[in-house]
Amino acid sequence: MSKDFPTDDSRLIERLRTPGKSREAFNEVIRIYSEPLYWQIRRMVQDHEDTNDLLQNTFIKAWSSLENFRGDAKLSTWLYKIAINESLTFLARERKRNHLSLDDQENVLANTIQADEYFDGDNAQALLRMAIATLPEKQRLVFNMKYFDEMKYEDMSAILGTSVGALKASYHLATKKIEQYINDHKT
Amino acid sequence: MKDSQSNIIDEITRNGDGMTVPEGYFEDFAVKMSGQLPFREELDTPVVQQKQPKNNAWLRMRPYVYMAAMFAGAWCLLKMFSLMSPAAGDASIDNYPALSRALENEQFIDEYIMDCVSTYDMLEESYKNNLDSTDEDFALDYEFPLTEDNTSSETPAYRLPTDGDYLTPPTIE
Repeated sequence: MSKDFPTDDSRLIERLRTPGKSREAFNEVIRIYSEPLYWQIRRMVQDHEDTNDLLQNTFIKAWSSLENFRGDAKLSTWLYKIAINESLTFLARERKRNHLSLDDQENVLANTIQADEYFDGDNAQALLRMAIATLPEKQRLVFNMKYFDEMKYEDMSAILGTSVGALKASYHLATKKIEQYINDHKT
Repeated sequence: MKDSQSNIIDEITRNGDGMTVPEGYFEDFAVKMSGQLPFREELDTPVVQQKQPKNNAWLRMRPYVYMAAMFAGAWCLLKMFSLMSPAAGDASIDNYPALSRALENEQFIDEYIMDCVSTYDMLEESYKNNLDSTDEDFALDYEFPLTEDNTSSETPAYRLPTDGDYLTPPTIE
């Protein structure tokens, strides 16, 4: 997975499963994983405040269902699954609340990017964000995980439940769409 | 290393993607998040581990020691009962020659045994039993005399029996 993640979190998992030590271990989980999970969620929902809420929900859900983590998967995989599920549920809820189609929501996300107070990039970077926001949800996930988080396809496969071949194809397609979008909107 | 398979994308993200967070956000988030985690008894309460007894040899031997102690106790009880109960021949007066000799001595009987019985008590007891202490044979004749018609009188008469008192029972035909 990402180079920032611990390669072996077996000790951390052992402490998480030890009553009396679980809370301290989980605080360490928060310190390690809050930043990568934040960016994963942020690149999906774009808004910082929404991201902050979803990140909190992610950790509370993980803490509440800690016994569901069997330990046969990586801790990061389990946390990413929860975070992605939270993000997709949020987007679906927003669509339903605002009576939006998938295409409409992509436009809403593009507008959110333009109004984002926590963005200090240049025009090209803003264009890239909007290009990514126009991707279908699954392709957006794949592109973010591969390009920004530098995840291995095998880890992405474990998180998304999709074959490595399909992920490679999805990533390739996403890249081409982004490139196309930038070329079309370049001034 | 980021590899988008696209030179355009790599060129744009050379200095990042432009997204930022409030200053110190991740440090504050970790602290705030730790305080928001709800209490979970099964995770927050340490399991009290029972201390392992060190003397394993004693643990292995303990049942046998307890069993031996039980048998020893039972044996002691049986022994105690057998010591406390008199043997079959012990009750015979022959086994107590001193007592035997003393009982043969009339003077000993008069002085140590008969004196223990009060005359007053004897008279009181006979009075309670409606016995005439002046009747010299009151303590000897307890058979109710029969009447002529061979029926028993309701009130026994304490008198000396005569020859007529003992009639031959009538023959039943």
